[in-house]
Amino acid sequence: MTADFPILTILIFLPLAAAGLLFFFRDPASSRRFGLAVSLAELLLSLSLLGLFDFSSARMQLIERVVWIPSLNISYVVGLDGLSILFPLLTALLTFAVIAATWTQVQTQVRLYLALTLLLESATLGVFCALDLALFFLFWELTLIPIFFLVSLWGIGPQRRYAASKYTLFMLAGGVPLLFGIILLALNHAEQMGSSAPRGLSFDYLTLLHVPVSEELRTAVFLLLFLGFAVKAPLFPFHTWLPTVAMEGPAGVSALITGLKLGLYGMMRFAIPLVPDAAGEYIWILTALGTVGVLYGALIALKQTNLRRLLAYASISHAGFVVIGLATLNPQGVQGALFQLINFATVSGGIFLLAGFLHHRLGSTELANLGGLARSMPLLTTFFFLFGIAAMGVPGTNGFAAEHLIIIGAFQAHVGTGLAVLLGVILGAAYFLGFFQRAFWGPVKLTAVRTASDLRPRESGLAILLIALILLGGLVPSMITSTSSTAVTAWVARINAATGPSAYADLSEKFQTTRSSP
Amino acid sequence: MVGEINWATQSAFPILSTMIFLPLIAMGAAYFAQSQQRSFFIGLAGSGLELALTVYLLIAFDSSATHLQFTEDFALLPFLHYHLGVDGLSILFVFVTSLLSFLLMLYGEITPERRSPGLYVASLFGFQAVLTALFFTVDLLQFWLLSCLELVPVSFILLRWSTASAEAPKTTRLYTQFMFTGLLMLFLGILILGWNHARAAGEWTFALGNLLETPVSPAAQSAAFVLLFYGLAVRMAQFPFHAWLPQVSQHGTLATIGVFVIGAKVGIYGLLRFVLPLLPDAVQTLKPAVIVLALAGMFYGALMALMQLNLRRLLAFAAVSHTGMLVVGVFCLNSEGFAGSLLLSVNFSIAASGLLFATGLMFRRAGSSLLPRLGGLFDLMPLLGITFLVSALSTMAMPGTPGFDAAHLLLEGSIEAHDWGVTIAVATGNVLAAAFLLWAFQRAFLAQRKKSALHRQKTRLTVPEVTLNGVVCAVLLGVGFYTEPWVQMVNESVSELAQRFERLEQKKQ
Repeated sequence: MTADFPILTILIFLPLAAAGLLFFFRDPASSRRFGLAVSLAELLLSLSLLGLFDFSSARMQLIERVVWIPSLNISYVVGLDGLSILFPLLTALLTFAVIAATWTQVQTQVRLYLALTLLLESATLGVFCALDLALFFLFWELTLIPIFFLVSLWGIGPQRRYAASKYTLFMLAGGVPLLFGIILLALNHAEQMGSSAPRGLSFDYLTLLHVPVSEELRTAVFLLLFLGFAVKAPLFPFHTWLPTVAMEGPAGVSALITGLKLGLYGMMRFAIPLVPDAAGEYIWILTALGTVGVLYGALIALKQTNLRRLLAYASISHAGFVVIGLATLNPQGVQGALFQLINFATVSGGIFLLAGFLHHRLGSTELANLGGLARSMPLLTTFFFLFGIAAMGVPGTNGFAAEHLIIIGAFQAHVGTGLAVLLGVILGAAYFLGFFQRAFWGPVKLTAVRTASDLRPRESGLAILLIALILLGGLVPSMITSTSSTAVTAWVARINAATGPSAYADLSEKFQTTRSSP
Repeated sequence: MVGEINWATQSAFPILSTMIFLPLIAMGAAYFAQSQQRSFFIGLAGSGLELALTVYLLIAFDSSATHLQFTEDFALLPFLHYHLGVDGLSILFVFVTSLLSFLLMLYGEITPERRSPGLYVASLFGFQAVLTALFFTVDLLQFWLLSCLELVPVSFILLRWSTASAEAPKTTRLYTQFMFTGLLMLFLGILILGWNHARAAGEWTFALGNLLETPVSPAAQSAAFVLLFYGLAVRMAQFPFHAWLPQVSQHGTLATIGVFVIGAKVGIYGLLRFVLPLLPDAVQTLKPAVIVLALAGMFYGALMALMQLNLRRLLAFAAVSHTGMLVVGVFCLNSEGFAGSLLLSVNFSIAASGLLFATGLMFRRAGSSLLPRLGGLFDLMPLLGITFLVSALSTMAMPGTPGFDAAHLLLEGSIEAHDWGVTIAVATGNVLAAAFLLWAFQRAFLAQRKKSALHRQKTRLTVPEVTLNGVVCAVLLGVGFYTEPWVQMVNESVSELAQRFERLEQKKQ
């Protein structure tokens, strides 16, 4: 299905153009208003995608294709399917939220800050829409530049420049295996077509999906792609950059990189479907790393005294859940994983923004400087609690619906994994409630806390918007699952067809009838 | 063996000679220019005209042909021909030389000597003429003579306009010593080839086409290869023949010499044009040794760059590291590797020049290129920061810059030709390059400034400087997003060269 109207291209490049236009704005106030207006326009544009999309089809839709570098067979191809349709919306939503939330937090070089945030939005949208691997890699690496600057220049920790370098170098190092994986796929295409490179190269995702990867390459391709995505996710043991960035970087960046997990999306979109046979064989690596990550992240989070560091480890633990869900290779697990990925934007993004509000008021999120926050900031406390229970997966929130599906899937795949996931959920409740109690309840010890002002209407409104979405996802989960169920079923069928007779065939039939009421 | 298309069939005038003699005429005009302003104008006009001629050449160039194009052949002596031609291997180098000369004229390095402002512009034109001729020549002896001639402008500029004038004689001596050794080796290698031809055909000639027709015995090939490689390695600062470059970069001129010496990849060109086609057996036998040297250079350069406090030395070691990467690409001996190396050397030339220009402009204002003394420059000179960053990103082969397509071609070639270890090493070296450049960028542009800030007035960029930065960024991003014509241009020549090695491989089996 090809689009007549290049809506995805407009969606991707509008923020980029707006970032350029920002240079003509002189004063910070009007550039802020302009930035917010652009992000709102993006939000509406991405909402309109839902109207254009046919949810009953598992195929790629809204495809646009322009030849870019013909002698290397690189094209500009963008498109969406059921797996990715919600991500542009979430990107636009979170960028809007970040610009609104940091309205007063950022006071220096406002234009540059907004331009970089919009550039990041462009690149992230590109990552979600790109269907040519070279184009995907372009957007993938392009996300680094704005993040490097945002962390270096507006970070809230004293080590911000170190954090920016660490992040960029981790990502560049992760980009190397990714690029190798992509090159091997392209070379494999040339080999299978019987023509020599560079004539026979192909980077087109839709083409590559139908080209079997030769036996000796497939393991390498899978492991390389997996490694590249694991660094970004981040998956244990490649996670050490996230706590650093969460501590040193600005709240907006932390919200964006934990709210939109590009690495996990990459695994679901590229690493597993492009080499399904190798994925089936080595899926245990995902399960193992996911399980270790869930427990490791949760245990380390238990010990944290700083909210932002705690949230970073919580995010690592949650990434583990998603990987376990994907690795089950059954409809429930994969649907749960996708659901959880979608939740991150509201839950993780929201809670990091709240941490930013807190830091803006008190200059710290260290437990020693908190205590008794509920007294002076009842609104912030309430919202924080609501985001927290969504992260824990309490019924009624979208976290419950997703975790529930992952747990079902994990138990079907392996009892041990299922138990580990359950333990992770319990630990998640423990670290969150423990911190909540120590930071928000109890006596007020510091005057800074006593005199702190509660959330402004702008900040409350933002939190309420995100919480409304959380509750909506929790109470009517079919709204989310129905957008992707066809695509997920096709995805699972594709992997299972490659890995031999499906072990879950009968269950997936049952799932067809029960999936909308988890 | 080598087909040729005479200039008369493709253009109205002998364009290659025009491109060589135009800078020489401009040199004369600049030499007699009386004022700073007039010499600057002559510089811009001359190099601008040359750039226009290059663009004409690019348009008239037939990228579907493997032949040498626009050729001119004219016997000076029985054994020495004035023989010019251009094909996919050299066309990009020619373009880069013209572009960089134009940028250098814009950059107009401050001349400490007020009495003869035209002299500096004149010597730049001389340098440009020699480099342009080097990339056109298809006669080995002519190539060698021009390489010797290249010493003159370099030494002259180093002696007169080095920033550390006390160090200038020492720097110049070091440079000439290294180059003399290299040129001697090059000459011996050329003699072996000429003698081999003379013995078989009965007459002395050094024209590439004639030499290609004479088979060379394996022993003579190995000897000639070692000698020629030594000679070219000195010129391209391949580890361990690189020791002159950090010294020249640190104590020499700010950007002039660096831009021409690093930017004009004569060594890589020499390898592709002469060494590979003439000595295919030796290339294949000695490939492992060269790869080891290249990888060692890549890592040595990167690690040394990480340790430098002086930005100018850092850039020199960066160049050493990149040379290693290019050599690995050349010695893949397949078309992806060749194309990757060619495009990457063009990319490195422009990007390294961008970095050198930014460093030079920074030095003019902050009075230092020591990283600990810089800092906070991004607020003061955002355009300079962007130029530095874009250049740095394209040296680390970020997608969206010309480096990316080149680097992934190079990696593809490397995967096909070498084992995995080499490819992984190349990729790792590239990440190291990212490390030192990012770190330098942070320290120079983003770090808190320790001393009092520079005066606003002093940091404002002049119109030529803004144009310079704009052109560098525009070329890098433009080529980065629109790589197609460049790939096209090198494709045919490169696959012709690659086929030579494929045939050789088949013959062995």
